[in-house]
Amino acid sequence: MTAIYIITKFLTLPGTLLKAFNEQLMCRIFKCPVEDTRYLRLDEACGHVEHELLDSGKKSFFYCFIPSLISFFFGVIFSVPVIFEMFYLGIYDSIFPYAFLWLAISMFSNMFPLIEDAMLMKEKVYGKEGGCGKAAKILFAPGFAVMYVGARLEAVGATFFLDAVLAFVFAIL
Amino acid sequence: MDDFNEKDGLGGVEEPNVEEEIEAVEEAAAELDEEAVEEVGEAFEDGIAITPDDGEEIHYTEEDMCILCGENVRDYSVAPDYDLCSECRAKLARTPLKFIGFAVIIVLLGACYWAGFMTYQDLATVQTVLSADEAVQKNACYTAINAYAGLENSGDKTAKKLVKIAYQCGYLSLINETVEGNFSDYQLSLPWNKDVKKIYDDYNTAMKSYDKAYEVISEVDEKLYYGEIKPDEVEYDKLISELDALKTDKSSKDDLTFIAYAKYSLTAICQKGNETEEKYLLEIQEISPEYEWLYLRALTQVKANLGKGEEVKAMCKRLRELNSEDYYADYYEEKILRKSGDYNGALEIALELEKGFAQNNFAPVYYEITMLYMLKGDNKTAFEWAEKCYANYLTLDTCNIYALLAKLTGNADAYKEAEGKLQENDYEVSEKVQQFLDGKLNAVKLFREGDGEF
Repeated sequence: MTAIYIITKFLTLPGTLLKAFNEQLMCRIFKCPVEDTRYLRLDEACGHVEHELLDSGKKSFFYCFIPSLISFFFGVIFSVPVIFEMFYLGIYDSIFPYAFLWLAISMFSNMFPLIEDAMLMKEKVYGKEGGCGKAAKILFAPGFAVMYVGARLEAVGATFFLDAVLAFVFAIL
Repeated sequence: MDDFNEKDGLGGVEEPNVEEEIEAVEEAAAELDEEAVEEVGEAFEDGIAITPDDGEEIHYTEEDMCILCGENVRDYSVAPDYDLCSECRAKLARTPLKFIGFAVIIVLLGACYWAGFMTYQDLATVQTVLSADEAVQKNACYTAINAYAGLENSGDKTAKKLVKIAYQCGYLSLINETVEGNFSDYQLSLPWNKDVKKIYDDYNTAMKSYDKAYEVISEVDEKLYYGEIKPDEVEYDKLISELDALKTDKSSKDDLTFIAYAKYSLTAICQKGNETEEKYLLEIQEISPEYEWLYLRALTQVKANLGKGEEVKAMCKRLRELNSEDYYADYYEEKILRKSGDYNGALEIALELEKGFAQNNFAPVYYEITMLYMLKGDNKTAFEWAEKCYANYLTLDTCNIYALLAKLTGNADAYKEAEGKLQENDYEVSEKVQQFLDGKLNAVKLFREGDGEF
């Protein structure tokens, strides 16, 4: 599984690098020491930075949420010409829609946090000891649910394959 | 210190047992200065690692030193097994962002700009296709076809939509043109293009059958078109026999359909009467009821000419189901009302139909309105419409009605103009015009009992 995961990370290089960069940026904002800043590595942390545990639920949530959101927005922007040209009009003879499709898949495939970060977020936000207040728990719930499931899928490279299959289906429909 | 670590299994996230740790530290640090041991013990009790500031040197083992700098004592306040000093920890928290990250961001922002530019360029096309899709939902076939066909390089999916709507409306030439212009043989062989391929294959099969049948009547058709012969000079029965001879045991459904269609065409151009035309159109309907695009409109017109009002209404309803913009449905309904004497009802439909002239260019409506005003006895208004008719839809009938109304309204110049136009084309003003002026004919006979033929 790790091999598939790493392959998908290299196939979606722009998204991988962006995600890792944003994670490092979040670490700086939260003043969290980063232990390993290699964006690309041949293990299950490929495309992420290794950092110390964040000390609060909110930090832990936003550490996962903001890079995801940035990747998502980039993905949406790259998707629009793809949706217009490939999915809606059916223009297949130009290279640009393919390039943007790759970029969009790249962003969406790297949208979710590392599974360890997602688990820490769960512990910090919803854990028995400590955790966030009720309001924060409710507010974070949708984002948490999406990110937690996404992280599980991404850990086995499933988001890439899901995106690729969806793109193919929309292209031929 | 090694014992201390191994014994308590530090390195996990569990809170250490402080008292046991102090004992372990005390045992392990037997060789150390007693005061230093006390300081370490106190530090653990407070949960903070403190380097005493009384000036006396404390002897730590190597394991207590930061693994990065090796100079400072580890910051045990972070975790009991934490292996960095606070200075190194602070440095790591300020690790510079990588250049590659900034480069990626810049490239992606550039790509965003390009994506925005592409989106902007596609907007007009997408809007047009969206409006065409909406028209398809409403069965507004003309709007949809005009929108789809007016686009260039609008993609395979748009072409596919155009092919489907063209097939529904019977725009056969558009099917051929669109498929050949947008799909290669390989693309047509792909499973997701099978619907287009089926339409294209059906079209080609139908056209082969049509060509075979049309070959029999093509010469006569051309000669009649160019006025080289008159309808009564055509060997009608012989040609019908020739068409019948094309039927064999191996004849396909399409072959039989287009043989019947050729018979209908021959009957129509030879003016053999609406009943005969109806017979052949019903034959087509029986053989290929799904080819409504081929027979439905012609059959409705024939039935309207025969004054079969109820059947015409039902067929007009069907025409509108297939194409909500089919103005011929309005035209035939208006005809039925005119023939039944409901001039106001007919005029209402005709005027409504005329409003869409800019879109449909359906000029025969001017002739209908002219006839209706004459039937109502309003020759002045009728002449106004006849002028439009004369300008937009010049035929023998429209030229004659223009001449007639010019006379009736005392417009000598207009009469001369119409007469001149007819003479230019080797015709004379119809005798019916003079008969009308002499009172031997009236509007009812000409336009209600007849169909406005001069």
